[in-house]
Amino acid sequence: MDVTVLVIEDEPQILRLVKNALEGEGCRVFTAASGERSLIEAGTRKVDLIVLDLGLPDMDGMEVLRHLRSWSHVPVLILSARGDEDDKVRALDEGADDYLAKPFGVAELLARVRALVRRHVRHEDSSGRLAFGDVEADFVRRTVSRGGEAVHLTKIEYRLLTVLAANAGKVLTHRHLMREVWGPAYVDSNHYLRIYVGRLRQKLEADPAQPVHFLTETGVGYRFQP
Amino acid sequence: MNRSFPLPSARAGAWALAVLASVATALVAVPLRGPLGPANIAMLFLIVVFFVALRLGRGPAVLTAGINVVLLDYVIVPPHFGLIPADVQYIVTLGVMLTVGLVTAHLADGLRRQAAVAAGEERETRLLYELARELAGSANRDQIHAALASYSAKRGRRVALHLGEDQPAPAGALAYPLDAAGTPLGTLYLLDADAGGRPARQAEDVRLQAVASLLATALERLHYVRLAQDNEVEIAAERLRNSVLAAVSHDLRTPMTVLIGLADSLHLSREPLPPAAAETSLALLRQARAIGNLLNNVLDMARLHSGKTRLRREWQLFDDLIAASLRLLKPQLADHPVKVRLQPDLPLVELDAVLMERVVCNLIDNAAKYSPAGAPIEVGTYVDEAGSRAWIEVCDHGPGFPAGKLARMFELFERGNPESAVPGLGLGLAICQRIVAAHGGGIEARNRPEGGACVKLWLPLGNPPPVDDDA
Repeated sequence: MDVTVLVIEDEPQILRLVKNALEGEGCRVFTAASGERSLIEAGTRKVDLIVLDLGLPDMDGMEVLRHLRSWSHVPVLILSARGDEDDKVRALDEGADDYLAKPFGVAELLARVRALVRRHVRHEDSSGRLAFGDVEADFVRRTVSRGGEAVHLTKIEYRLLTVLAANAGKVLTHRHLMREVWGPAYVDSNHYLRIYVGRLRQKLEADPAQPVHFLTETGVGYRFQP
Repeated sequence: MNRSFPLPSARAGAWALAVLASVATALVAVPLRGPLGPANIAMLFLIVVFFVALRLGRGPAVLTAGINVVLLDYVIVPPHFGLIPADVQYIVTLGVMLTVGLVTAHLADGLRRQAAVAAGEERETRLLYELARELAGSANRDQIHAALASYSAKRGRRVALHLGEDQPAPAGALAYPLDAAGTPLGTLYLLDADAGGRPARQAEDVRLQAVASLLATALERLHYVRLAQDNEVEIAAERLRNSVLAAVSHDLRTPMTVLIGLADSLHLSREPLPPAAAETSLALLRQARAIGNLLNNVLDMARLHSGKTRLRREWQLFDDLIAASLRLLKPQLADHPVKVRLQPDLPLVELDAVLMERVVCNLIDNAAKYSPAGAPIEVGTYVDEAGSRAWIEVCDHGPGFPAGKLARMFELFERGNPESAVPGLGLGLAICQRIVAAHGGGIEARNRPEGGACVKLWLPLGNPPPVDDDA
């Protein structure tokens, strides 16, 4: 991956781990160990991705995020501790693009980074077609088929699929999904989301009980993995 | 004012003193015969009767009264040294004097008795109050016994206190059971029950009942103080244990993150490792993940116990929960095929997704840990016949729970086999139980007849909100 990544992490061992993993993939990595330092680095270098640890010593990671988002659209991957679902959701709502919970495996880290970079680099899928598993979706003609046979999706199921697919690889919070698919009035009715994701799984997953495309991010939202 | 009045019993000395008093008065009166008339001297004699009654008792006072009349008649009233008074009016004087003397004797004696009785009562009450105060301040049974002994010694009675019910009653003793809210604590025995007359026995009976009730209260208080102390010690110990666990696991989080990350990098290294090294790196990764899981359990337990966790209930689908848990445990399930049987159209259940995911993960992780490689794991969901509970069941084909320990498996730090090579702290099932209980549900463990362990949990079904379907 020919990308430049800024890693903001105060624990030197974790910083080294992430740096090595990214450099192993061919990324150019800059680092910052504090909030202040990170804003300077982000402002003076051209970066394609930022990896930000929420638990920084001097500034609240959330503050760094807000600062960044006030002048940049660079994708941000949050590193968070387990059990802080509230923080993750808040960070995502503040403009972070995805999160990784510590402890994480290097493979997960790279998968998330790839997904975010791909989205950022390719602004849209020109063909309007998406294939995953044995499903083929054509968003121009608004058809979905599985194993060659047409699958009927209701209006809402279809809209949910498009929102998820448009953000493939990235986690979407419950709030975001409710707002995009159902509308602002429904932001607190998460149970709709669960039922409809369940229906999409039933219709489009090989094994709905063990889904591989429509993934649950507990306490945060959902992620579509083509 | 603690002057002790002697009890009303006439002593030989008292009679002698009575006679002496009369004679002394007469000797004093004779020289005053002239200036004071007989009437005035009679008053003098009366005063003496009064004081004798007050100090020496009724008997001597009556004697004094009688002797006074005789002496007055013989020595003072004219004719001197003659018994028959010259003037008839003196008969009245003598008669009245005798009457008044007797009445005075009687009244003064009564006054004296009453004062003695009141003083006696006051003393008894004071001793009872001192006993109550000592019992209230007693910190153990020995002090209770000592307070009772001191009380009985001051009163000159003999009592015995038997605590509990296993000692035989002393012969001939009156028993006063110590009872607190229906629980027998012991018995108070009065050993010299026959001393004193019947009225004394009745008063004593009332008093001893009061003593018995004081003893019962004191014993009960000791019991609850000890209970509270034990409880406090236990709470402090558990709180300490939890904060130590939390601090330790907090400090371990960064090294764990690095460890798992590095183990993962090694395992996935670009250049293929020689087979032995590849196997080692896989084993390293597995153990690292197992420790990571232990750490998570410890942190969860500490958080649950700190009381700061509040359930964030939302209407969720069991399917979601199971799917998320299975995905989280993918590495651990590499050697164990999972058969999932979900009841279709299971209603929404109100639960905290993050906590319940922990529960399901713990159950599935246990099943994987204790199953031989290749053995399948079964996960199922269903609603029971009554329709009020939603169940999740996780079964494996491992050795099962040790017989006889089924009931204890959900206790803290309880491990099936303490010497097991499988890493564990015995927290997983305890956490499951606490989380499920916080949801108002339940969890059970059993061994399958065909081999293997099964753990199933249930959550109550509520009234899920309706979902407007679109076509």
